[in-house]
Amino acid sequence: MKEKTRKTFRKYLEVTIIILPGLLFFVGGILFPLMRSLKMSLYSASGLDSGTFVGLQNYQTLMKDKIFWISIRNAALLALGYIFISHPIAVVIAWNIRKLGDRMEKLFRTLLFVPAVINVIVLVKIWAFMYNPDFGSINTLLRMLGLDSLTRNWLSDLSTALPSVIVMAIWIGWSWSFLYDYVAVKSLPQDVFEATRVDGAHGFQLHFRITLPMILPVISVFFATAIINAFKTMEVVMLSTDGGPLNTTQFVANYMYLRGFRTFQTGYANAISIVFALICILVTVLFFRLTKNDITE
Amino acid sequence: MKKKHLYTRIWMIIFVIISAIQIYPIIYLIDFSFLKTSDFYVSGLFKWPSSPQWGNYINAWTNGNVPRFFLNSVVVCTVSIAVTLFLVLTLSYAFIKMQWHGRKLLFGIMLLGMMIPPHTTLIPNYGLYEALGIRDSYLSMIIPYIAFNVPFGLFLMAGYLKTIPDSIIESAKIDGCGTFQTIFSIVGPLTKPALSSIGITTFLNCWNEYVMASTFLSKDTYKTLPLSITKFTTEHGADLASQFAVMSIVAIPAIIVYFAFSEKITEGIMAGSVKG
Repeated sequence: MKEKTRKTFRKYLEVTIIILPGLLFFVGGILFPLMRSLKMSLYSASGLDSGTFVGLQNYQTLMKDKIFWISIRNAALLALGYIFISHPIAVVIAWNIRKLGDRMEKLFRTLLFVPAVINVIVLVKIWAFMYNPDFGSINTLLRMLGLDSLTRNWLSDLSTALPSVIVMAIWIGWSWSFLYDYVAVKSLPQDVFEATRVDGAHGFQLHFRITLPMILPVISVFFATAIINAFKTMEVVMLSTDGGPLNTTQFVANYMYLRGFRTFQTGYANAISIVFALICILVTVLFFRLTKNDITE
Repeated sequence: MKKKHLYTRIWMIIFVIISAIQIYPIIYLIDFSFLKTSDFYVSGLFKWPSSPQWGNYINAWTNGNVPRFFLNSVVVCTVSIAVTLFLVLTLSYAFIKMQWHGRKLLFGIMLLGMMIPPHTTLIPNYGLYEALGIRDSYLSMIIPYIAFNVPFGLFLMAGYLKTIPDSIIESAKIDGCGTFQTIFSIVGPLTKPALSSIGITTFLNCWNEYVMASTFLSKDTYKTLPLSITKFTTEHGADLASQFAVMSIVAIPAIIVYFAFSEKITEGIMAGSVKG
């Protein structure tokens, strides 16, 4: 018995030593900042001055903040864009790319993923240039097609700013969606398809009955990531419209940044940060629960 | 037979169009980086430079403070990658190959870190790093980079580690290997494919990270490469062509790393998604 306790003790000592450094980074880099943010969100802090305790006042103001709700709506719209535009295109491409033969498959797969490795700042700046009313590619293309009446200042026109930002964000994120969908499709067991094909299932029916249920857990992860990515949209907005014109293209993360580092309402910005983090955690837990997807197993 | 041929051909055309849409902005970037700024206003989707303006790159290199920022990026990335790989290897071993109470809960919490946007830590960390006196230093980059790269690496590694049979580890134990020796001399080499793809994704994340760098760093001594773009824009806003050259300089190393290791990235993500 004594021997056993000693062994258990040794094992737990080892586990502690192994996980301690990683745990320190996790606590110091993620958990502690979040806790600090939670605490600061209850203060009337401004700049680096922590101010006085105001309870939930920041949250109450936030709930009545019109710009905050615009940014939530925009993030939701973008999430819908990721889910209903980005992923369906990516899945169809991923499904059909295998029919081109090994070499072509490799070539197109490599090309389609290139934008994902380039700095988002670079991509956003290029897009901002492409949207430029004077020399941007989009207006140039429209003029070449004789559609001069459609040319406009895409990013500052009230009616086109938001759609333009969403299109840009979808393009920038598409390569990652494609890679994940490609990997998901690739990991499907091929023999199941052969068997059902022999049984007479075709095209849409095949995908709906067989493919969809099989990739459901993967899809749930994609949905969760799509929503979170939409909420954390920041660089894309910051370097193109910076939320304008008239806050029509404001997004949650960018709005938080604006309050924190431009108007120095630190307490208020932390309240946004906490709501933002809660949304992400809730979305994750919800999607994993829904599909009973336990990745710790 | 003929029908199938036509079908593939249609798909070929679709793929060419989609690839063109995906690649166009990058060609645009390289193309414009060789123009004179005055050429920008001449209409055209592509513009063949009358003579390639290598001068843009020289402007970018010196005025964007590229050498210093490049070096900083290399330092920050190297340290972050090394520590991330070390932590991922040890943590995943403890979570997958060892049995202990609280294992599942702790593992779940750490994986949740994958879903928490780094942006939420910007404001609290700014004050914290300021108070600790490390806001303008390599540490203010390295600490959060490691913290946010470990959860995803752990996720990939856990998937891969499950495919390695316990018997290998047990036989190592019988041969007298201690836990640490098992991790570094047995498990480490066996999980090389996963480690290399985690290394590459961590590199891309750190190399391309902008938000934290632009928030925390105010001295040129520690700024990382993406900041040369904003630095150049604010100081030489009118020189559009050189701005494109700065952006090319930032983008090219990542593209090179990608083409050298593109197979590894796909492989690694595949390995992580295979459930043991």
